[in-house]
Amino acid sequence: MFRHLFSFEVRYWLRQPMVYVFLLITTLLFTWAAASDDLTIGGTFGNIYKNAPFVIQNQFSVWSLLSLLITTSFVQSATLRDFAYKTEQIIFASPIHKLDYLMGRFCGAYVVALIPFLGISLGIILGTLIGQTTGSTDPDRYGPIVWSAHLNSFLVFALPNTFITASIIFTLAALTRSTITSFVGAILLLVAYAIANSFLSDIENEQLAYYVDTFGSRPYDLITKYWTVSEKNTLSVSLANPMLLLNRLIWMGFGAGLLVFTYSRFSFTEKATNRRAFRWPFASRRKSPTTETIPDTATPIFTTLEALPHVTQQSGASTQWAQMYRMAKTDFWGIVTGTAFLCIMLGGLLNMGFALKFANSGYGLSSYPVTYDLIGTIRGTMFLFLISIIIFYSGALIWKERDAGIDQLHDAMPHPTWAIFVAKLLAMIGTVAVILLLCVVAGVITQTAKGYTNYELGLYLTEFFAIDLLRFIPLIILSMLVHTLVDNKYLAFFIFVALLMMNAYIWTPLDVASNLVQFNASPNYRYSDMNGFGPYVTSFIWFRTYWLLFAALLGTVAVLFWVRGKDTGLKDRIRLAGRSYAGNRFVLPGLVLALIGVGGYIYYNTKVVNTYQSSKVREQAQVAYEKKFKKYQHRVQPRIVDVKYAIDVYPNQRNLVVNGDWVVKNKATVPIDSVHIILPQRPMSCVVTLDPAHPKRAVLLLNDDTTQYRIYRLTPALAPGDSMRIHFVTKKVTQGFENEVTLTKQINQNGTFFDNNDVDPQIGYQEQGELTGKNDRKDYGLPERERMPKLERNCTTDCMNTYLSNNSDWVNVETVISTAPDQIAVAPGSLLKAWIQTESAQPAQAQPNGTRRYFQYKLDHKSLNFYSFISARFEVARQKWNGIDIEVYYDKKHPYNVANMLQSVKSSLAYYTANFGPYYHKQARIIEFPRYASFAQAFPGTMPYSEGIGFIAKIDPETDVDMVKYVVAHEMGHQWWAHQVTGAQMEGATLLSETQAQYSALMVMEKTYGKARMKRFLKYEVDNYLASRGGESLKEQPLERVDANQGYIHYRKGSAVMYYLKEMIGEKAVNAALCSLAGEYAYREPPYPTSYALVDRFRQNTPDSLRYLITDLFETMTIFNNRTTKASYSKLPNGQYQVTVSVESEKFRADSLGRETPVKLDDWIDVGVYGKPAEGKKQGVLLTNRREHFRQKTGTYSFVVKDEPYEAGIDPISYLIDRIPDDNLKKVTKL
Amino acid sequence: MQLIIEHLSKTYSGASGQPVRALDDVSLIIPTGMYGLLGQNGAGKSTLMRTLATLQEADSGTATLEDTKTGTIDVLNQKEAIRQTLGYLPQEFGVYPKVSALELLDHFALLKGVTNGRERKILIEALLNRVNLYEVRKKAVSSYSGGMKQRFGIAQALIGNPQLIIVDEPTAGLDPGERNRFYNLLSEIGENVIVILSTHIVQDVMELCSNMAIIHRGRVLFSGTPLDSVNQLHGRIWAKSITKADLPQYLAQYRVISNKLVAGKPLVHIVSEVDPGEGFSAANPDLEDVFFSTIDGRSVAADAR
Repeated sequence: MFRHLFSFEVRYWLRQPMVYVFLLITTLLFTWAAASDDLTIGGTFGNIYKNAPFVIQNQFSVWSLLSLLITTSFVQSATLRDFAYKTEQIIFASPIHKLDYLMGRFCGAYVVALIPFLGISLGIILGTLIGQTTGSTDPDRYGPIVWSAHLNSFLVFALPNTFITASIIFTLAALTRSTITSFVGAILLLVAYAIANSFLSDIENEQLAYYVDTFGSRPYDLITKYWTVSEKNTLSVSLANPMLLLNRLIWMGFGAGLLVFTYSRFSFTEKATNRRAFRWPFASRRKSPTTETIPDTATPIFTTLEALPHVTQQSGASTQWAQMYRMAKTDFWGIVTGTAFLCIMLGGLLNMGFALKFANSGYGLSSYPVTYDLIGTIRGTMFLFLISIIIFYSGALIWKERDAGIDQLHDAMPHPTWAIFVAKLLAMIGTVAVILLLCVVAGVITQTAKGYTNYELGLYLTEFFAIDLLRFIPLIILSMLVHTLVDNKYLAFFIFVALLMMNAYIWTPLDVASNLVQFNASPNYRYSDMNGFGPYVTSFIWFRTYWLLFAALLGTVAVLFWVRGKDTGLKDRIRLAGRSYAGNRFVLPGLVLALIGVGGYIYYNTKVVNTYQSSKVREQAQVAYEKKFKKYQHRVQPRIVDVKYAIDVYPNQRNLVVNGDWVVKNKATVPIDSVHIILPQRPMSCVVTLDPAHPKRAVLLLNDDTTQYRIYRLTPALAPGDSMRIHFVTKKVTQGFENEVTLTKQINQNGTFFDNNDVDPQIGYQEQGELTGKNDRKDYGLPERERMPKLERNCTTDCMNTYLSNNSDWVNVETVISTAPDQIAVAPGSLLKAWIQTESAQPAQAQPNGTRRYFQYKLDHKSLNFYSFISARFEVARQKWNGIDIEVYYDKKHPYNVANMLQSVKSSLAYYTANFGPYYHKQARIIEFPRYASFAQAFPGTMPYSEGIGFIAKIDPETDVDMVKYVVAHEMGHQWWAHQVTGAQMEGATLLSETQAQYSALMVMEKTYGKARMKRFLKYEVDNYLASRGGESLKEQPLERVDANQGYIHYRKGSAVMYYLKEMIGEKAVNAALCSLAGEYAYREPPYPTSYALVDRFRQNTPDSLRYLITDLFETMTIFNNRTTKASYSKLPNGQYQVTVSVESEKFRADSLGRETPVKLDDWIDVGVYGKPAEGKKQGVLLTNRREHFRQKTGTYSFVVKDEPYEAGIDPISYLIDRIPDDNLKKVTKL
Repeated sequence: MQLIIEHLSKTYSGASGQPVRALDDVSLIIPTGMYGLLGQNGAGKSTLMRTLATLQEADSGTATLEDTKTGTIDVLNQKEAIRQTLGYLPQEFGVYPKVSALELLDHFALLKGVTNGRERKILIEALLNRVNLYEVRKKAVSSYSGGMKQRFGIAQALIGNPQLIIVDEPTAGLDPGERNRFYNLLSEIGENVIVILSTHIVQDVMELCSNMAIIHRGRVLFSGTPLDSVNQLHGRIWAKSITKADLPQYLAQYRVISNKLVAGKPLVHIVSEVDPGEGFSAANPDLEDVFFSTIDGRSVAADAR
C-alpha cells in the first residue's frame, strides 16, 4: 500500500507543471551565476573558481534555505489535498493504513521536493560550459568538475534540510489542516535560522552553532572558516566530518521525531472545529459532521410580519467614504486578529528581540544603543517578516471575499469599486503601521533596558513611518495590482515575488542607475546624529513623491480592472475596464500628467542641472583613462613643496570654495616641459592656472573631458632645481538635487570633512584612478593590474616616492578657512588666529550676506602632503601634555568616550616619545565627523574619527577590549609610522606604517590593561587573519612583502606577529629597532625606506638562536598545528601539584594560495598551565609557562605548580598562528 | 413596475473549449410578485440571474427595470443604480469566518448605503426577528445550519427596501420544514416588488409563483402563469403503470415525458392528443408534466405558443 501511495504521489507531481517550473528556475539561476559575474548567489568568493567545490557547497547551503518555500508548496499540498478537494471522507473511509497513507504522502512530496536541487548542479555545470566556451567569463576562473562536491553538497544540505523542512511543514499541515499555518511554519523556521545566526555571530558563541543551526550552514562555515584558496578549490565537506554529521543527525532526528509525533496524533476521524481559527472556510451548506452547528430554534415562522422599518439609502460621496472606512476597518481587524498574522509577527519580534539583545560589533564590543543603530538592527531583522506579510496579505486581501465565498453578496452591493480597493490598501497600510509601531516600542524598550534614555521618538517616527511606510505603499499596491490582473492567487504570488527579485537584480546588468526607472527607488541615505538627514532630504522627497504618484497610477489601473462579479475572461475584463474608465475620465490622465510633471522635474534636476553615471559608464571612463594616459605614469613631474589654502565652507548651502596655491619644484635633473594635471572629479569644478605670474608660459596641449586629464606645455621649461607657482580654485556648488546624493562626507550641513585629495588637482598620472577588479579588467582587455613594485634591496627609482604620493615629499601648509558662524573649522597645524567677519555677498557665489567665522592655521613642521579640513558645531575638550595641546572635537550628543580618548592620546604620547622618538607637532586632535564614512584616519597632528565607531562605543573596562583607546592609540602610532617614517612605493610599505601602528597601540593597551588581557584581543586578530586569507583575491604575501591593500596581513597578522616578536626578543629590542628606524628616516627626503630597513634592524636585535623567527614571521607564511593530546595532574605530598602534558606541534609553510608544505621543527614554543577560572571568567591565571625547544612533533612536559591546575597545553597564550587554536589547551585530569 | 428582458444572449467557452450558449435570445417580461424560473441544472437560470444581479456581462440584449416611481433603469449598464435597489441571494455563498450575523448584517447595511447608525440598528433587529435569527444573532454565521444560513441570506437581501429581489435555488439542500419556512418568508415579500426565484423543483413554482418561465439550454421554452401552462396540457396527458421490462418498448412507442416508480413499478406519463388506449388513463396534468413535456425535444408548449 505504501508503495502504491508513494508512487501515486510522485506520479501526481510529475504530471503537474510545478516541479518542472522550480527545476527550470533553479537551473537558469545557477547557470547565470556560474556563467557570468552579474549574479551572485551566496556571496562572492574572491579568487576561487566559479565552480569550486566551496562555491557549490555554499550555493547548496544557501539554496536549501531559500527552497524552504518550494518544499512547503509540495508538502503542504500533498498533506492537505484530501481536505482541499473534500475527498477526505472517501479516503478515510477506505481501508488504508494510517502509516501507509501518511508516509506515502510525505515521502512522495519529499522526493519530489528534492528534484529542483538537481538544478543547482545542472546549472553550475551548464554555466561552466557556457562560461568556458563563450568567453563570457575568463576560462581561468573555472576548475574541473568535482563530482564529489556535488554529491557531498546534495547529501550534506539538500537531503537533510529538505527532510527537516518537509517534516516540520508536514506536521503543521497534517495536524492543523491549514495552508496558512504551513507557510507560517516555514517563516518561523527562517526565524530559527536567523536567531542562530545573530546569536552566534560573535566568536565566543560560535561552537554552539554545531548543535543549534537547523540548516547546517553555520557549522559548514565554521569548518571551512580558515580554508585557504587552494582548499576551497579542491575540497568539499562530506558527512564524514564528525561535527557536521552530528549537526545533521541532531536535526534529522528532530525531523523524524516530528513525523512519529504526527503519526501518533493524526487521526482519520475528523477533528473538532476549534481549528477553524486557521481556516478561511468555504462554509458549505451541507451539514457535515465537521461543522459544529447551532441548533435551530423551534419557533414557528408564522408570526405576524410587521413591515420592515423604513430606512434611507444614501449614495453620495460621504456614503462612499463611510463604506470605504468600514471595509478598511473590517479587513484590518480581519488581518491583525488572525492567528497567522500573530504568528508571523511574533516570529519577527522574537527574531528582532534576539538581535537587539545581542547586537554587537567587532571584538565583542557593544555600543550605546543610539536610535539610528537600533533602527538599523530592527530593519535588518524585522523587515523580512514585514515583506512576507506584505506579500502574503496584500494577496490574501484581494482574494478574501472569493476565498470566503461571500463575493457574490459583496459584489452585488452598491458600494463603489474604488472604495473596495482603497479600503484594502488602507487595511494593509494599517497592518504594516501596527508592526512599525511595535518596532518603535521594541526600540524604546531596548534603549530603556540598556539604560539609555535619549529616546529620539521623532527619529523613530521619521524613519519608520515617513520613510519606510511610504516606501512599502508602492510595493503593496503593485502586489494588489498583480493579484487583480493575474486573477490566479498562486501565480500572482509567484509573479509578484519574481518582479521583486527582478527589480532587485536586473538593473545593474542592464546598466540602469536612474531612480526614476528602478521601481520604487530613491537615493540611498544615511542618518547621522551630527547632521540628521541633512543632504538627502530634497532629493529623497522628490523621488518619494514620484513613486507614490506612480503607485497611485497602478492603484487606478487596479481599480479599473477590479474583478467584480463572475466575468473573468480577458475580453470581458477589458470591456469592463473601458467602461469604468469612461465613468471617470479625469483620474488616470490627471495622474499621468502629474507623474510626467514630477518625473520631468526630477529628470531636469538629476540629469540636466546635475548628472550621474551608471557604473558601466564610470568603468569605461576608468578604462579610457588607463589606456590613454598610463604611458605617462613615470614621466618626471614637478613636486609640491609648499601649500597655501583659502577655503570657504558654506555648510547650509552645501557649497565649498577652495583656493589653493602651490609652490612646485623640479627636483629632477632634467628640465620639465610639460605638466600633467588631473582635475578633481565632477561634480567638483576646478580652474587651474600654472605660473600665474607669467600667464603665457603654460599652454594647454590636451584636455580630455571624460577623464579630466590635462597636459600643459611649459615654455620655458621648468629647469632642474627651479620652482613655480600653481594656483587653483575648486568649487562644489550644490544646485537642485541629484539622483544619488554625492560628496556628502565632503560637504554637508554639520560635519564637513574633506582631505586635500578630495579638492586638489593631481600632478601626474595616478594609479588610484584605474579599474581594480581583476575580472572587470579582463573584460575590458586590460592587463592584470600591476601590483606594488617588487621589494628589492638596491632600489633606485622605486624608492623615490612614498606609497602615499608620487608628486610631493614633505610640505609646509598654511590655511585660512571660513565657515558658518556657529561652526568650528579645523585645518592642519597650530591655530594662529580666529576672527569673525561680516561680509557682503560674494558676487560669484550668490551667498547670502552674513557673518562668517575665520580660522588661520599653520603646520609647525613639514609633513606629508595629506591632511584634512573639518567644519561642524563642536564641543571641544582640551588638555595639555608636556606642552602639547590635546583636543577632542565632538558632537554634544556623544560625550561618552571623550575622557578615554584624551587619556589614550596622553598614554600614546608618553610611550611613543619615550620609545620611538620626538613628536614634532604642537597638538594632537581627535575630531568627530558624521558617519557618511566609518573610519578613523591619521593626518598630521589630526585624527578624524567617525561618529559611528568610537564615539558611541560602550566599553566595560572589566570585560571588553577597549577599542576606543586602541583605535586612538593606533592613529597616534601613525604620527610616527606613516607621518614621520613612510615606506617607499614598494611591497612591504605598510609593514612600516600599519603594522607598526598596530604594535604601538598594542603596547599602549598592554601598559594600561596588563598582559593577561592581550590574549583575547590577539585571538580576534588571528581569527580575522585566518578567515580573510581564504578570500584573498590575488595572492597572499609574507608580511615584509605585503601589498598596501592587504589589510588582513598588515593589520591582523601584523598584530600577532609583532606581539609574538616582542614576547620572544623583548620589548626593548623591538623598540630599539623602531627608534633607530625613526632616527634615520623621520621626515627624510627620498629615497624612502623599504621593509628591509625594519626587518634588518629586527634581525640585528635578535639573538642567533631565534633568528628563525625573522624568516617565519616576516619572510614567509608560516602556520602551526599545535595541539595538546594529554594533560593530567597529581597532588604531591607537599600540597603542590605535578602536571604532565603531552603535546604535538607541526609547522607548515604556505604558498600564495595557501597550499601547505611541512617544514622541520626547530622552534621555541611555550608550554603552560592555567588555574581554575574565577566565577564568571572564561580563563584562569597562567600558573606557569615554560619555553621549550621543539625538534620533533611530540613532547611530554611536566610542571610543579602551587595552585590547583585546570587546563594545560602548548602555546597557551596563542602567540602562534594556528589553524585550530582551541585545541591548544586541554582540561587536566586527576590521576 | 416590471422588468423587461429582451434578446439576452451569453456564450461561454466551455470546459472542452467548445462555446456553450448559456443564454440564447432570452426575452421575458417580469411583473411584480413572485416569478419562478424553472429549469434543469445548467439550463442557464443562474447565468440569467447573475446577469440581472450585475455580476455578469451579457454578450447582447437588454434588460430594463421600469418603475413609475424611480424611473427606468438599464440593468446592464446602470449597475450602481440597480445595485441600490437589488436584493440578491446567490445559489451558494460563504461568509467571513468568525463574524456574527449582527456584525455582518450591519456591514452589508452600510454597504447598501444605510449610513444612519440608528436606522441600521432598528432595521437589522427587525430583519433578524423576521428571519427568526434574533436569538443567535451574536453567533458566527459560519456556524449556522444550512437553513439558518439561507435565512440569513434572505435577511441580507432584504436590506434597504429592494425593488428587485433575486434568489437563486434557495431551497436546495433544505429539509421540508426549512423549505416551508423559507417560502413563507419569500411570499410575504413578494407582494409589491419583483422576486425572481429559480428552482428545479416544480412544486415550488406551483405553490409560490404567479408567473413563471421554463428555461432549457439557454432558451425560454415557456413563459406565463403556472395555471395556464397546466391548462394547456389538459386532456393530453395519459398515465399507465407498467412493468420494468416493458419500459423500453413504451419509450420507443410513445412520447414518454416522465416515468417514476410508484410502489416499485414504473408509472409512465405520455403526451398524446388522442386517447392512446392500451390501458392508459387520462391524468390530471400538473406543472411537472408541463416541465417535462416542455423541455422534451418536441415541445408541446412551444407548439402551443
